[in-house]
Amino acid sequence: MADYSSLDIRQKSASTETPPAIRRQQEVAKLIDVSKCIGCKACQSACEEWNDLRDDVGINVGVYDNPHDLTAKSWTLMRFTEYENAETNNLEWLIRKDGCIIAPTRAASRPARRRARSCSTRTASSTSSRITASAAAIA
Amino acid sequence: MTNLWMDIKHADVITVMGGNAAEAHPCGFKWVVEAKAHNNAKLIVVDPRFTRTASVADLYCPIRQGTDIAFLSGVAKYLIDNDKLQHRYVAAYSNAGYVVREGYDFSEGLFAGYDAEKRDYDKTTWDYEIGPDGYAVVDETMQHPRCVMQLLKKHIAIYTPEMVERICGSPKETFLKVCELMASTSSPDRTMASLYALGWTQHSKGSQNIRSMCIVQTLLGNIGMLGGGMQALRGHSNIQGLTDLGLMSNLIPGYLNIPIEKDANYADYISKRQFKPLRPGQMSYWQNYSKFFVSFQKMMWGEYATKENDWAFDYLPKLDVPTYDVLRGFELAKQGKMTGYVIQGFNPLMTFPNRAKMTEAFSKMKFIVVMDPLQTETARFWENHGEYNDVDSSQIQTEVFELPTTLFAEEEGSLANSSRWLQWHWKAQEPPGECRPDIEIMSALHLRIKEMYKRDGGAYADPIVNLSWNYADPESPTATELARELNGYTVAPITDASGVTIPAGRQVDGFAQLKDDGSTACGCWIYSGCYTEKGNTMARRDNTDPGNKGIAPNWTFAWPANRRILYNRASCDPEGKPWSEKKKIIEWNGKQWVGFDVPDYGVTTPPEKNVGPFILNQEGVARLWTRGLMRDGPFPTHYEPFESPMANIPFPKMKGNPASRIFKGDLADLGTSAEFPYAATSYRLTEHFHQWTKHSHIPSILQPEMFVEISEQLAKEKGIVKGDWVRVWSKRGSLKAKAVVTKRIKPLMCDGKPVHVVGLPQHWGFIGKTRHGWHPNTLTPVVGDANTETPEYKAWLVNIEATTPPNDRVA
Repeated sequence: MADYSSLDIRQKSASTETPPAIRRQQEVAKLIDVSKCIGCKACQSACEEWNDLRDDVGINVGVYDNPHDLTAKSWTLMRFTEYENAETNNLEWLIRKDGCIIAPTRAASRPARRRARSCSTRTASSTSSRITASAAAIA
Repeated sequence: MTNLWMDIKHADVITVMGGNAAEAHPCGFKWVVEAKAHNNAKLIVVDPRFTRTASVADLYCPIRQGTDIAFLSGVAKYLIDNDKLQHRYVAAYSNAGYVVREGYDFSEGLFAGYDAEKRDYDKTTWDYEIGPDGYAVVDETMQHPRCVMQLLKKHIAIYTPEMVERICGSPKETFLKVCELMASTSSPDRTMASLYALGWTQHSKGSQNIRSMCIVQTLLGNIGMLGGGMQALRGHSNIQGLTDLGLMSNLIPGYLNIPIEKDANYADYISKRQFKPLRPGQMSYWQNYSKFFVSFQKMMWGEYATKENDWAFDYLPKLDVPTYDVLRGFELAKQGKMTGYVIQGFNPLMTFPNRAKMTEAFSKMKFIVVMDPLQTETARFWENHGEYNDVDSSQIQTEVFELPTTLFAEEEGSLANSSRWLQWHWKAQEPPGECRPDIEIMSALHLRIKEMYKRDGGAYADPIVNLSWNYADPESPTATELARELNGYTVAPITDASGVTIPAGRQVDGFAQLKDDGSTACGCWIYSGCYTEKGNTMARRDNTDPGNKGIAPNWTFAWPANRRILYNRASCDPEGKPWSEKKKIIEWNGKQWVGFDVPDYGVTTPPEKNVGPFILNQEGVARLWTRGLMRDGPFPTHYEPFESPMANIPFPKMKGNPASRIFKGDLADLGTSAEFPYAATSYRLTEHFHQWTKHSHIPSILQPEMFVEISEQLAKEKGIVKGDWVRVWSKRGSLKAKAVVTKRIKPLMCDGKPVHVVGLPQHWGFIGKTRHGWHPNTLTPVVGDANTETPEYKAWLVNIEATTPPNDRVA
């Protein structure tokens, strides 16, 4: 990562065109440790800002997930699941970061289909397995 | 905070109770995550709701809102019964052995000296026995039947795990697990950090909630320790600065007091505050009160504050009541006695209790001035917004002045954070339109009022016409000019403690140089050191952290005296050796105190002098029992909220906190559990910041619409389905919101009966980019904490039913 600057990510992130290959670019992946995630939605907010998106102000349908699904204007979405763990008898609030995999030319039009399916769910019993690479986001 | 945000990484146990740090303080919460990841810390969350903080906790324990004192008294009892105390710490650094004078008593929920008519106590007996030497009597064996430890044992004897479960609805097994984890920090090398916020303060006994944890932390020896402490997480940017600078009717900057009517003159006033030591050789730092006070008066009135006129003592207002807090203010407005109101940077129509009363009060005022960077509901209280603000504008004559102000990024200055850091920030951009800084608006007002008094005269105009106003541009004092005043400067040459003479007109190095002879001026003694001759220490940005202690002494300025961990002398044993090498902050090297932080102690005071580590206290030790310093008792006691789903189990005669003030009309506005069976509470969400971010598009996407949270069980009972419209109402008002039906709120079994919790987040109103909605304060009662008058926003009663959408939402 040492030679990989944030502007490279910006240049690539969410673009619909392949930037000119002036220099070799390193492949990066996002590693999201969901055991540390509190579901603050700052990433969701940052995604809107970074990519200059503004989804519509929706409504509440009885859950914390807003918007209710990935849309053409919302490429990152926190999903909240309430899970009663029968093994521990504990309630777990599973907070998952969902997002489209940016694929040039299609991302903006069909994000929902391309969302990462490897995003983790979280269980309190297996901390080590809670770290999941969500998506190789930038090719 | 006694400690600082970064210090939380050293904790072995972290308790979040009376707060929801992950949600309300997500950036600072990273230090909790750090402690869990790298210090094997365990996180305990005690809350009526399974919050975002609970989602990453090791142990979650439910509790009914308003019962924290019963819970924590139960913890204290567990610690004593199971001998889980930091014994040497308790013996040397607390008042456990102090003998209380005869006559003090507690019975059936009341302390000695109660006056039911006044709802107040005669606190004469709430004090120590004084020996022939003039000092408090101490029994080091702690066996005297009237010593604090014995009285404490007696006072908390009722809070057994079974009683805690009956009152709080916290399952006994879970409660005991909490006790065990907390007790693990009684060893000198383990510490617990207590993180709390408005979940403790916003109760009719808010201060005593905090006191309860202070008792637990003192018994465990966790105050003054790395990774320990009482961490008040402040709810707004610079709300720490607000209290530091005394923006309350009864305070002067630096936690000094506005005089009361009984303080006939300066000598009288100062004699009641210049506290003398209660034990031999103690520092009792408030002995210096006169230096801070006189320096403040010199800053305010310069040459007009002289020894001859009692340092302009009579320029200060004299309180005829304990406080002119907001609850009293709007009661007076309702009665037509407060006729104007200047509102800077807040939205009282929404953020004070009982919306109907607020609307009535505003409608009776002659004028209000709203100074804010954004539109607020308060400025539009007179405007009809359908169901959301159903007022008859033709009946309201109040004149409203709106003065747009700059936002923090459009001005320079300092913000005080929870860590007591004064952090300088720089102007990033020009304000839009006609926005002006608050300072400029207030200056313009002041100069014009001053001019009018000079021209036209008036009753006792001296405090206004003589106010010092020495700024390069009187219409617009700069942040730097004000900061230099807060730091303090010499008016005449002075000689400091080391014998060095400092000429007139120099910035002082710190409050130790302040004098009570008129030779120094200082706006806020605890801020002294923030802008010295060396420059602006608040603008420092060196994050070097010697020892990797989370203490970066050259990053900004922390009050007092750049000290990062208060009471840090208590991190060492009486001989001056750290309780644990791992937790070392400072130590005695034979000649002086050295270490990573500024010692909270005389730097060359040797351990054998037995000066206590709690240097502000007259005793020099921490107080398990607070003498007459709290209005509602020297020990915390379980009182139900003023609106409660159940009677007070141990003290059935008690209705609410017996020492809380409540006005007649507000008493009549309280509902009963027969009519309003459900226990309501209000809170904020991480997606929004109070009443601000509803004006911003992205946060409005993230949480677009007002909702209430209820359990699956209550939803089933009431026939409410997730996403339905519900109506929630109290004795004082009614609102509509969407229903979030959740497993994260469960009925609490209290004394064999289920108590249903209804949660109402507080970010919506009738203007802004979100869907329009109501604020929970449409429903909340007008009663406050006995000591601070902070309103009881966290525990009141409602009813709930499925309903139809508001008119503008009907499809």
